[in-house]
Amino acid sequence: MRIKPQYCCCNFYSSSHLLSGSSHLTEIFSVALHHLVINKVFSSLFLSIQLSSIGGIVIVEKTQISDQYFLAVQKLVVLELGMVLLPVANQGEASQLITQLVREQSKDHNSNPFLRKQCSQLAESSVFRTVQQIPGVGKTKALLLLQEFGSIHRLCNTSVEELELVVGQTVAQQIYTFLCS
Amino acid sequence: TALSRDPLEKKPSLCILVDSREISSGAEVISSLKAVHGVKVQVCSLSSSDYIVSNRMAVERKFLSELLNSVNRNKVTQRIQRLQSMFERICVIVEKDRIKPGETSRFFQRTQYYDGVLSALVQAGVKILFSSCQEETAGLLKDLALVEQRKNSAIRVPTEVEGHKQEMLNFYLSFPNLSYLAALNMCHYFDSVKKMANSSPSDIATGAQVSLQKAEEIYRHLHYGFDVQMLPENLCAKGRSNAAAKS
Repeated sequence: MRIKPQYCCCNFYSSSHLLSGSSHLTEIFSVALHHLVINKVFSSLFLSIQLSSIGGIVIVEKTQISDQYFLAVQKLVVLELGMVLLPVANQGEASQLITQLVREQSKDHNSNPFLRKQCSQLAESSVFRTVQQIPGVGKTKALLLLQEFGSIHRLCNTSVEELELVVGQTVAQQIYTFLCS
Repeated sequence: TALSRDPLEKKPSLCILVDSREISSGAEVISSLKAVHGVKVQVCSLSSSDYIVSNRMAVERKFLSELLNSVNRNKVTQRIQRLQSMFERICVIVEKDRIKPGETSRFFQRTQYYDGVLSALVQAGVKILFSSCQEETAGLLKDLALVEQRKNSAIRVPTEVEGHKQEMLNFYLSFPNLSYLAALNMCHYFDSVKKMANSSPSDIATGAQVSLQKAEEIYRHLHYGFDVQMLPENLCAKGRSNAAAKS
């Protein structure tokens, strides 16, 4: 940690030391927002975070007084530097948030609901659904077409004559026009 | 505002896609995007996300109150999970709830659940931005679109489609885990569905503006050998599925 201690609230500082042992290492910096702006420690602070070459989490104190700086800080930290910025109202909130962050880091990745994969749809169902999007084709015709030609790729490379044998002249022409023009 | 000072503002016009449901819940976001920020706003039926600001980034707008307790847990996680499967980048904008007329200012009691949601989002690589009102949200959306433009991911294709192109779009939108924008890009890049179906994964990646991994997923979908035995019975026949639903 390369920030001068006076810019950090002490209890936040020690919590971040706890984190440095964790495997998915993320540094947490906690700084009063107005200190960031008024003392112009901005550039040096973020330089040090960037140098550490790991994604940093910045926790800022967002109060009625410091509110006016928030948007500018957020723009810099999140949009320009690509780091994480989380606002809190006071030190109590900061310690609660850090506790949750630590808890999340120590958990198994699979327990994170936002990382869990949705059960993927059966490939047959997806292909069936796609073929039904061809104008003039409903469930019955989609099934006939897929039973006959096997894949969307094959279907796209089928002549209108071949299609006619399966779905009749009018719809065959409609399908052919949709796929090939 | 820093509108005139920022040299980036002079760049070619930005385009943002907005889900049609936002017309009612985010009217001021939309009007502010157009009037204050001069962004081209295209309202369409995105269904999966609230906004799309580039070829690869989806943005969800959530009220603070929706994240404070677990009432909306399933809805929120399912939305994000779905976006994770479709987009390379996801951003959640946490917006302060609007104070309704006659209501005294809402007291925001931070909860452990809220901190847990933020932590999980951070861990999942989801970008989080905080906004105090709809106008601010509009500014953040514009900033996101600008950053994405700088990284060569801006939306460049025409966003309005009609007739045959609209039918092609619907066809592409049925592909598993394909984003609205990837489908839109494919519509404009490939002259016909047949051309697209005969393309290599790297051509598809170029055409749809997606990663090679995503392009390979599309390629597999196109070439998948359909086996009717594997199709769930309820999909085969309408009559059967109705009967199953009743029992």
